[in-house]
Amino acid sequence: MVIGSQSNNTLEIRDLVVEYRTRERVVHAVNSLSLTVGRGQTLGLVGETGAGKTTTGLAVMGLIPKPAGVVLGGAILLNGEDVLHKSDREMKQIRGKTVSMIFQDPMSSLNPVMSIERQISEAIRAHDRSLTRSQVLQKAHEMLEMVGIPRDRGSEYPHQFSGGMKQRVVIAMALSCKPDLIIADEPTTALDVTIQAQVLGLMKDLKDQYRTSMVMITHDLGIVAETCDSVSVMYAGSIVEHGTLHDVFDDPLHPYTKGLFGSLPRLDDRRAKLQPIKGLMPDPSNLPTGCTFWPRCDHAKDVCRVEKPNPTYFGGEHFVNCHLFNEEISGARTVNMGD
Amino acid sequence: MIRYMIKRLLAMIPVLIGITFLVFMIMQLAPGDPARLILGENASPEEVKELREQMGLEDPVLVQYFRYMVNLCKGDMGKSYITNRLVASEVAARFPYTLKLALVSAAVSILIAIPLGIIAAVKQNTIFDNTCMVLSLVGISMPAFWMALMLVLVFSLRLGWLPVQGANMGWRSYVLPSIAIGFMNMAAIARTTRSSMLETIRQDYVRTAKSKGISNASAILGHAFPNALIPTVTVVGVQLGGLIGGAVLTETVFAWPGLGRLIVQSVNARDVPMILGCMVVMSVSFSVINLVVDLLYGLLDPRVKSMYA
Ligand SMILES: Nc1ncnc2c1ncn2[C@@H]1O[C@H](COP(=O)(O)OP(=O)(O)OP(=O)(O)O)[C@@H](O)[C@H]1O
Ligand SMILES: [Mg+2]
Repeated sequence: MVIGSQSNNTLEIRDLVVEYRTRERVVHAVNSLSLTVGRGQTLGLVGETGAGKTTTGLAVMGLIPKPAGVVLGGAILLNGEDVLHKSDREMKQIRGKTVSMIFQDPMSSLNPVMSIERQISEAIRAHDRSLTRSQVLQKAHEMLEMVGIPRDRGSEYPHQFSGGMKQRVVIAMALSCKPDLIIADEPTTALDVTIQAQVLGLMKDLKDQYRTSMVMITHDLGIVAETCDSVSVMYAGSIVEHGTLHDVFDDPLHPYTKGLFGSLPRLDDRRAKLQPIKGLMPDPSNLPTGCTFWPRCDHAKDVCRVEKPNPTYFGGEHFVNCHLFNEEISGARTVNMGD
Repeated sequence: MIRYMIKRLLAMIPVLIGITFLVFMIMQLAPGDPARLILGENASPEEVKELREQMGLEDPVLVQYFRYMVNLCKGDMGKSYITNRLVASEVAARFPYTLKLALVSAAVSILIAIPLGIIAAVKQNTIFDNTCMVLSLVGISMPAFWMALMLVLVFSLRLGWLPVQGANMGWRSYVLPSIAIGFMNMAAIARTTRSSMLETIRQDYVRTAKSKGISNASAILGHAFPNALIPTVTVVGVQLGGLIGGAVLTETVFAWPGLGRLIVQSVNARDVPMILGCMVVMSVSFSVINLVVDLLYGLLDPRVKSMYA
């Protein structure tokens, strides 16, 4: 593990393993997951429900729910520093300032009995003790105005806001300390289409303004196409394919990626949602041996049932974890073309 | 908020009319003639009849009730049949003892129970948590008067640390009675605090709070706790109301010179005006406590506050 390699990457996750241990079973939520987010870049993290996307985000924040959740191994490097070995105090400094997370459900993410300006102020004060009360409030109001909420509504409570406005409050909160990295966990699923477009536009503007890096967790390929630079496709707790937006949309390689994107998506037709794939995601407490996708894969071979595939690169950052490509590349491609 | 308060205060009037009416009617059913009680066994029937007429007891019950209410509005609760003293001044002399005892025991039980409940929730399923919960189960199941007797037995009679009875030994007089009445409340409040904390600690907004970079303790005390307080306040309100009613038993055990004991003495003596006076004061206090609790909701929960308008 190379620590402090002052890399150009805001986030680097290597071989992360996270389990949830309940009385009845052990859920293997994240299995040897690796991903990279370059400075100022947006990475789309796509995958079916239960793939472990939120868990990955929470691991970066150091907020995996205890005692059920356990990080078993791997490294999470934020600006080159491993956050898995930080003390509680150090994590306090990192949360909100280096990395902040926009949670999946804006309705329940805000404290119902605290005014929204206080909730934003709290984030600001947590990382800058030198500010006076009124300076903090001033900054909180600026954040609110930036996301299009009039400052005089700051003293109101979450129940007085619509879903879209709450989501904007959550975004204002996440941005208030100008973090290096934002993890946006399906930031728009709770919103209707028009508001969704507004919120996405807003996030993009803010990201450009502050040169923030971002992990965009979503089911929506349209959102990926609009906001992301690269895409990691997640299946049963690990990445099965990764590449630039162009690589993954126009030249999907992994059978799962192909299935997800169906036959539709070309870069000029990105409006499609993820396609359903036959079969179900394996039970994460009882994962198949070998490649986790083989029970649903039309091209599964004997080796797929036994051995985990290793990444095969196709120039640049585009790689795929699949036995079909582990062999001689040209041969694999032929197999793949044949469907 | 002010309008709501006024509305609530006005709503107390029918409640009070109802209570006084009920008590008045029940006292009519009680055996024994007040005039005979005052004059003693040796008085002649004529004397008794004359006194009854003088006291207005020969009038129809509703007329008597109406007369009582009119006087009550003027602050006149009549005179004791037994001592001939003014009920109003007697009640006014006794009420502060009951109130002080209630407040002391409420304050102590709240101040102890809430931190215990929070810690038990944060340390769920540890030895601390289990001990608290077993103790509180004991506390809830144990009748207050029995607890009072046991306390007196151990701390006053056996160990001799604290007075057995009465209110004339400063703070030491308060210790046993307030524990006796407060223990059950403490147990109930601790249990409610714990269970609502267990719920709020897992809420998304607590996770959001932590994600901002505030400490675990601030997330729990600043976010989970204020939300958990709402159900806790309900229980505190019910318990406080119970303190006033429960005073009857504990005050008797400890010979505490409060309203509860006065009521028992008056019932034994069939001293109707005194009983009525005590009941009126108790029910007013009960309604006021309820009102305060309802207003607290408004302070704690902005969603409730916006309904007041
Ligand atoms: N607190 C928990 N205790 C036990 N299991 C959990 C817990 N949280 C998540 N899991 C399990 O871990 C797996 C991954 O969950 P996660 O929330 O990361 O999925 P996700 O990719 O975010 O799904 P979605 O798209 O539905 O949000 C799931 O099987 C889920 O049931
Ligand atoms: Mg999720």
